[in-house]
Amino acid sequence: MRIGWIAITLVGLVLPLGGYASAQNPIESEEATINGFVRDAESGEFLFGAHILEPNNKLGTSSNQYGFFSLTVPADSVTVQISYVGYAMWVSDLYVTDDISLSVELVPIWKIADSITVVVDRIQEPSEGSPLNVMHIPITQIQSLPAILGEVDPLRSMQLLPGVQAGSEASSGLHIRGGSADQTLTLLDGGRIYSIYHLFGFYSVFNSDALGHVNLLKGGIPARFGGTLSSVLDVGMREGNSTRHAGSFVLGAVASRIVQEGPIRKGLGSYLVAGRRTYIDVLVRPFMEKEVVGYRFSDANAKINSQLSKRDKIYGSFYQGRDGYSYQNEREWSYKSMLKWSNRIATVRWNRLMTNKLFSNITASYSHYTYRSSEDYRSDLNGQYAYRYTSRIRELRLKADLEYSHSPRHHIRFGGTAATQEFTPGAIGINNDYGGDHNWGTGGTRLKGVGVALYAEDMFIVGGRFRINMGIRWAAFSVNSKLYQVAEPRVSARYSVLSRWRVTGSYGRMAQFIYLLPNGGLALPTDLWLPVTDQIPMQTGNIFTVGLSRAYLSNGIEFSSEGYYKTMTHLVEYKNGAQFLNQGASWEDKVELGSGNSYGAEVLIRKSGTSTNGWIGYTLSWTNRTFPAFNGGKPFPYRYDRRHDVAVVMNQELAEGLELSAVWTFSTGAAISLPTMVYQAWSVAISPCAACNIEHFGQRNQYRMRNYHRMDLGINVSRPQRGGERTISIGAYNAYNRKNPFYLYRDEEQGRNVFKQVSLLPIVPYITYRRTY
Amino acid sequence: MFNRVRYLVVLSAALVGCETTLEIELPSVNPATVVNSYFTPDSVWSVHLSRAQSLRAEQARFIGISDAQVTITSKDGNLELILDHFGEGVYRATMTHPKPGTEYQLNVERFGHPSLQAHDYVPTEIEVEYTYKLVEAAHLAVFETVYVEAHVTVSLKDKEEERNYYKLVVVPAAANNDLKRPLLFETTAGSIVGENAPHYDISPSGERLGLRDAIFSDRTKNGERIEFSISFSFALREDCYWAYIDANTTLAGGCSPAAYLMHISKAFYDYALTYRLQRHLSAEPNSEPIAVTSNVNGGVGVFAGFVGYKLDLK
Repeated sequence: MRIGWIAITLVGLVLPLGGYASAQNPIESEEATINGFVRDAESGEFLFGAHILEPNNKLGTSSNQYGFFSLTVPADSVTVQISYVGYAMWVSDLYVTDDISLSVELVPIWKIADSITVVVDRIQEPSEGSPLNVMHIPITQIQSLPAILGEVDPLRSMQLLPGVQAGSEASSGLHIRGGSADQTLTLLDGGRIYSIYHLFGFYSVFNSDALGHVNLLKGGIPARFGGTLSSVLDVGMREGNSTRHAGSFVLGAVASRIVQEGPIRKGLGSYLVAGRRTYIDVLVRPFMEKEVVGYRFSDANAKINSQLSKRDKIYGSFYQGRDGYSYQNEREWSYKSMLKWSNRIATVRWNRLMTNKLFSNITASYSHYTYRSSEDYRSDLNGQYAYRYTSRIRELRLKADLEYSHSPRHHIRFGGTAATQEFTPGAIGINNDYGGDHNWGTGGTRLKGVGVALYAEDMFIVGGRFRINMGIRWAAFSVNSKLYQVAEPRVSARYSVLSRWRVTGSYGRMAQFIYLLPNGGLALPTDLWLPVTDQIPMQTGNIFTVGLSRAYLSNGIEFSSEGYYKTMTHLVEYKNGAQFLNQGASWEDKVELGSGNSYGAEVLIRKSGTSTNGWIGYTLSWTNRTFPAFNGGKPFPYRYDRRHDVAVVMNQELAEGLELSAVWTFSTGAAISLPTMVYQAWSVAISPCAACNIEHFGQRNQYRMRNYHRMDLGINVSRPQRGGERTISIGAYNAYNRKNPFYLYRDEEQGRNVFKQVSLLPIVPYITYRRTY
Repeated sequence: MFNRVRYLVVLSAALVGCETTLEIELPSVNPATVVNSYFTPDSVWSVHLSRAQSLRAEQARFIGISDAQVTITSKDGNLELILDHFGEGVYRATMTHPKPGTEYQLNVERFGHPSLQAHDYVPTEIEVEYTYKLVEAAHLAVFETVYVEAHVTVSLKDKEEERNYYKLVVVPAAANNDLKRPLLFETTAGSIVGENAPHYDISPSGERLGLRDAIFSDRTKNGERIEFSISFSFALREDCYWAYIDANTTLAGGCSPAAYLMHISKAFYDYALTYRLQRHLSAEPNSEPIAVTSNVNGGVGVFAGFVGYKLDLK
């Protein structure tokens, strides 16, 4: 209890409104706290984001990542409703005179007989902020959507939400509301992932079968999240079935995956292991003789949890993903090259229910990303050339998060984090006797950074209609014996108008101490994470949002809309033509600093239900960058500026065990620079050619590629099998074979300049087989 | 390796992708006047004027401008020179040479067109020393050709108080290469001063072939002696080879390629660097196009000074 009051004091000091709201609370004297956990009745897994509502007093909360909730109500007869999308609502009338604990199991809708009428929950509405700021797609829905070559990718589903851009064709990248890829903090079970891509961005590192939730926070980001300028992608692995041993496997054209899960210690814990591997390399090897090219990626996920006592639970989770490309040529000369990159994340978490109102979560995580490449060339005639390149980032993080339900009108969170990061941007070794007898190499710079952050936030209710989350985060980062620090105030508010309309607004000051130096628009493994330095200041930003939503229109349809404005400073881009591989030069000398802004409006109409669900999303946006070194210092459209972006997503159950999925997306063409004039450069022996042509460019990114659109279709046919179910999925990516632009280049045809568009993916059919047991 | 990554991505795209020719409506632009002028104490003044072509033009024809008045003046006031037109847009002086360490201004007046101005300087002279070694790599009697490897060690010393810029090329012997395209070479120059990733010519399979030029500055070696090596191989006609043997490791004038070290101005450096980047990155998808810098006000192109040092192998 003492810790709770310390938290209140801390929050009260920085949040004067918190004190005001507390004074207005008429029901503090006789109250009781209902706490407990919400879990899936089938698998026993905890449900994150379930709604807990006491409708008579209009009180409510939601379960946290560990299924825990705490709701303080008047000590009297109360009605408790607990709901979660895809599950039947749990309703109970209780007479509470003292604190009580509940353990609620929600039954999935598909388990309930048709004859029973169930109350289906509306779409998960966040307990704070607006539906367009905190976005969630159920994993079951992600798995039923069409996918490239049948390989389901949660990030590709997130791209269908308003305000989220993919980047380039077929990329799994996330560019949120005009932010670059590094402005999204990606967490897997609380541990940070630095590279979220396989196969140059075609797929993400997330194996959908191993995931429990995927949440995206785009605005109104609470103070408990930091180190990011634009958004937070919070991904959690499933805990594993705590009631029975179960599993599934999927056979696909590109990769196969398997999951095994089950209870341990007689239901007091569970485990989950999952694996995925591509087999392109195995399939092509028999067709190669002197030249051997291979590519593969693999993932391994594991998670275990154990209930230590009624109040303590411990989790351990692990992820390792690897990509490998190799090329080997054995002729009159021998040549080998390799690219390898890998992610490794391990987390241990300890949940403790300290009091009926105070819940704590302590997380220790280790994250490691490594990229290695090598080349070996040997020839009797020309000698040998060997090359090695390594870059790496390592992070060790300790985090404490506490939640305190002080009263029905105050839900307080506070905590802190400490992390050490080690950056090795690039170590090069070269052994070369080609053209001389010299061996040389350069060692990579190793930098160590130490970061700490403290936060406090209070979600409080003023009157019956005003819900505010106000918080502050203080973060500091030390690198090269210099300390950088920042205070980040955050506030989001929701006002209920009439019965179901909500007006929302938020402001957040954001800061980022590390940034990604990307090589062009592709998600290459060579992209470097780097810390702030004297020359490259901390990136800061402001996000403002205002929105209007209606919680429930009819037939499970919801409407939400939001406008946003975002500013960003100290953004980093490579200088013209600079590359990561530049022996001896510091990365600080290879980058330019600039600023950016982004603004727009988003609309989402979403339908939930058992037979039909999906959404229509629309985004109207502008995103600009200003760099003194580019475009004459004038603002120019950002590479991912898209004026219009539309996504229509639908899942329709045609009959029992037969489901149709369709996705249609449209976006304005990407902003590009094209030459407007061409002229000759004259000078023999100085230029590489006697009279070469130079292209003259006008304003940067002043042209647009053709608009992007495509439709994906899929049919899932499921049949019960002994002990489980089998599902065959058939579909096609880009079903009407639209030739979408990947890039443009200039060419000459019959003496005339023309632009040629290269498209990447035509219609790509797929078939997968899934079996659960 | 970076090129290999990109090559892999592009190859993947080519395997599954397809190409479409597009009609893109480009805005109508008034073609700019183009200046090409590199001036050095070894040559008389020369300026080439031409017109840029709109990309909408049916045929790319770069017509020389013949009706301009081209004037060179020195900043110290010792020179005011009107160049004569020698045809096809080439304007020259007959006698006058630029001087090292002097700043000059170019003025181009043309009736009915806005005037152009540019100014730049000839860098000061530096100390350059070099040694070389020639090694016979292969003798192909069928083609009457000998392949020779040249290893050149260069040492240069420039002025401490000013930033100095350099460009290095290897020019073939006139007898061997009518097009005079620079030879491929390897050098440690770029790595020593730690600047500007070298742009290697890459074979279609991704193999590194060599450099066509090296552009660097003394940023990290200001005032210090800079030492680097250059290696390249070249084909030698048999008659040159026998002359070389007879003359005891000395090549006859018409047979010898030469490394050419240019001490260049800042404007030359920026132009050469961005020009090279544009050429090398033009084929790479997803890279931002490179705008070539220009020091010509009212037009495009370059007006730049340099001092050249020919490192002969004879």
